[in-house]
Amino acid sequence: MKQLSPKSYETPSQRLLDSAPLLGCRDVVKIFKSYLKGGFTALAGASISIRRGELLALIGESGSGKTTLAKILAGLIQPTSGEVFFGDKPLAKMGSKDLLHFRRKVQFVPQYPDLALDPTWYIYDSIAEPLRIHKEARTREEELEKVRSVSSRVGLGLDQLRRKPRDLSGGELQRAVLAKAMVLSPDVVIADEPTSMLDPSTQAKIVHQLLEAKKENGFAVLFVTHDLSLAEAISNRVCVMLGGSIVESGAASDVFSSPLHPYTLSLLSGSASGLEMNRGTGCPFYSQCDARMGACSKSSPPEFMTGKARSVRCWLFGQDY
Amino acid sequence: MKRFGYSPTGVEWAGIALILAVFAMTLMSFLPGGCFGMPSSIPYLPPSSSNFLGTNDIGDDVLAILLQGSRVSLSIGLLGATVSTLFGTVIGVFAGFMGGTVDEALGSITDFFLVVPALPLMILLAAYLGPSFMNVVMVIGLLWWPTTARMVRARARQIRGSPFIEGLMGVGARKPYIMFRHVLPNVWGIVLARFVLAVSSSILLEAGLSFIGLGDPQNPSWGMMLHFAMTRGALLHGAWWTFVPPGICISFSSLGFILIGMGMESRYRSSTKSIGDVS
Amino acid sequence: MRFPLFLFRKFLRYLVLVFAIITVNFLIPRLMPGDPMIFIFGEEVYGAAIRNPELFEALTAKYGLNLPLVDQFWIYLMSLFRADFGYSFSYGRQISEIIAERLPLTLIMTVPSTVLSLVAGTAIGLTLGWESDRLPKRLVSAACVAVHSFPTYWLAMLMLLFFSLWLGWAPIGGAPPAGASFVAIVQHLSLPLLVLAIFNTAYVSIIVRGLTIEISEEPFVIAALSKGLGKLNFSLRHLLKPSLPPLLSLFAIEMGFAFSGALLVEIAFSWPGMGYTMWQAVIERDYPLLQASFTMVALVVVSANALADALSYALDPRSRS
Repeated sequence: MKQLSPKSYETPSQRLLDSAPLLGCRDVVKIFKSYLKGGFTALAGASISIRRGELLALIGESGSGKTTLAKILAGLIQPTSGEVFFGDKPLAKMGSKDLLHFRRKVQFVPQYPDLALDPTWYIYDSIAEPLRIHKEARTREEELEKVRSVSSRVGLGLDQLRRKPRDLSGGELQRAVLAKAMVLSPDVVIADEPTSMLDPSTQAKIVHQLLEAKKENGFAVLFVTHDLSLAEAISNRVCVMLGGSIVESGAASDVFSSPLHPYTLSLLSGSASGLEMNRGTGCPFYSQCDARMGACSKSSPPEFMTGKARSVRCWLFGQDY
Repeated sequence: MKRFGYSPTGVEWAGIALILAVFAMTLMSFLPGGCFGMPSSIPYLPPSSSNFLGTNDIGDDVLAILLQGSRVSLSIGLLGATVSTLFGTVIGVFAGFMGGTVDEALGSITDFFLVVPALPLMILLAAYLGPSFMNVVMVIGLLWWPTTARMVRARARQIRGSPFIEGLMGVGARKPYIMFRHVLPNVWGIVLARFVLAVSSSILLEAGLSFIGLGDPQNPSWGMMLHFAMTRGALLHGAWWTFVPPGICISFSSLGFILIGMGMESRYRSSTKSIGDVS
Repeated sequence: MRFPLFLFRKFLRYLVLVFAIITVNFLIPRLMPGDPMIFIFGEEVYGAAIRNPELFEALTAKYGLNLPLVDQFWIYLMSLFRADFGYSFSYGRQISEIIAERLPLTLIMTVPSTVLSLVAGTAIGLTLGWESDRLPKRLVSAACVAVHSFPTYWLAMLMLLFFSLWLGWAPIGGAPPAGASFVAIVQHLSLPLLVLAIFNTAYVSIIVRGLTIEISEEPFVIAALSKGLGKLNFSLRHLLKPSLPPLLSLFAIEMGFAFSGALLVEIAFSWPGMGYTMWQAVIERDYPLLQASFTMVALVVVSANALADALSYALDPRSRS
């Protein structure tokens, strides 16, 4: 990750931390119904908020519920309980007009670029499709202009636009998916491990282009990843996820330099193993935690604020102890 | 892999050759009648230079009837396949994309028609409707869609689960739009292959129905020729020239379409494997 | 314990299916264009009834034709339970008697030919699917496809021409007379059985070949072969066993197919089974007989399906979920 100097993007300015949340959710629970096992709890009361213009990294291991949370925020799946809000309105109470506005302003970039575009459509048409759905371009020329400018920003040439997905490389596809997400000039781009399927050099280039575009257009990014160094390099703020809830959040520099939650500590030191997670009552990290106490097994810790915009879900930081 | 151009495999070439032969035959049937021997009024005349395929029980030239019959068999084959493919595609896409109750209801109907033997049901329906060209087309079209519906449904379901559909919902696309503009183009390959296979089945089914005597007597098809050979004693008379040629025509034309359809299906399968594997 | 629930649901499905068949059968003559009385009485009886008011009254009362449709359906169901299919004017007998006599004649053809073709077709299909690229195997496969696209009844006509007319080895057709010797019965049965067996073997071979090719491309097969398992041993243990359940469901479809094929073959051989009966009924416009024949054929095919389902349940634990 040499191309990305941590300093250039890591700017947890006070302005960003103070601004009102743009998109977020409160106490979201998602249980996937399954007739075999009776149901799988993917999210157990997760709350998160994305502020205007920030780059929020959502980190955690596989199975921690990152993708589910990202999809719920993008309105792709419905939470079992809890609420998602955009601006100051809850998604569940939006009329069709507001919902359409939400769909235009919040864009989702999926994990597998090779399945994110219709294989039978030309890349150009796929990128232009959001414009057509929302009738954002009045003429063919306007559409062409918009598609071209957004494509060149992510490094896609006309040559690639004339092809179909099967004739593009993974990196080019991911660029096309990014272009599709940005063509409506959104407020929030939710990127679900957008680069995990790519080789490191392509990965760096695409992340770089995403950040350049973000700087230019000022949209917020929720960057879901399990790549800790990447998260450290690019994000303003970080949320750490474990067992379907956010266990720690705060400015990226704070979290990475002085982690509070024992899980974050072990994650950063590379010794965490989410597979042995406690799925019963109490803290999800209970069975592996070195600092566990009696309270940890009995009830799940609430969110304790330990500073401005810094919170942790661990009984170690409760005032009662 | 070579993506550009469509180069048929050996199997498909064989199919194309067979079909071209049948079409050539159909085209020849539009030539003025005198070209292929006149009715000779002598029944069961064996093949000769004046009647290449001999004459039938009422002394008509078999070759002339065979050429006329190719029009009927082929057009019923194409029309029946069109109707059944249309039904199967609409039902399959709808069931696969909507899922839930719609899927279950349509699935039960499809299962019903898959389990109930099709030919006896066709015989029953055709017997009540009476023999006519359109009735045969409708009976085949209305009863031969379940396999197509099932395959299209499976594919549509796969498409529905792939991330790009989810992404489209996220952008705010409406369901009918997604169905027509995204699901349909993606099942197109299977629909085409099924259509070609359905032409083959329709030709065989039409022949079967005609053989039983449910074909249109105004437009005798190849199956009808076999029917007459059976009921009017050509078989017992040993007049092989009255029933061997139409049988060959039925077999070869249906074989031709089967070969092409199979080629298309396997081509389609190998090109879509990657999508199926992940979702 | 899922066992009884699963079987019960399957059983229920088939009951619904049978009910649907009966309903369709009931509705067709009453909803088709034309006078339903012609369809329900049969053309000749209707002609007689028109001239004889007493008979007309009696028949109308028997089928409840002046009652609402629901009551008619009830009468229809009750008569089915008594195995009363009505009267066939073309044979001058009760339809149930005719069917009781002729259904066994169809079964005696379809069951042996189906069993035979399943065994032979599986063996051929396994051989063809293994190293399927070799030229001789491809030629045989092509031949199977070709045979399958021949009309069965035409094959039957050719057989009659060769073996009966030209060589004189087999009778021209028809059923053996009552009290015929075993040899005579075999002579009468041989050609129809041969035609059906050839046709169905070709079909089963094509399907099994496809299954074999599909399975032989699976990683576990390649792994097993690299362990040095012999080919025969291998095909029995790894190919035949996993393909048994699909083969069983194939058997069910196959029965339906064999029946449809047999119906037409019977006509060619004048073999007085169900197909021949349906043919006669079509020619004589004996609608009651046609309907009863269809009901019986459909019931046999549905039963075969149910049987295959039960068998595959007994053999394959995976189908129980």
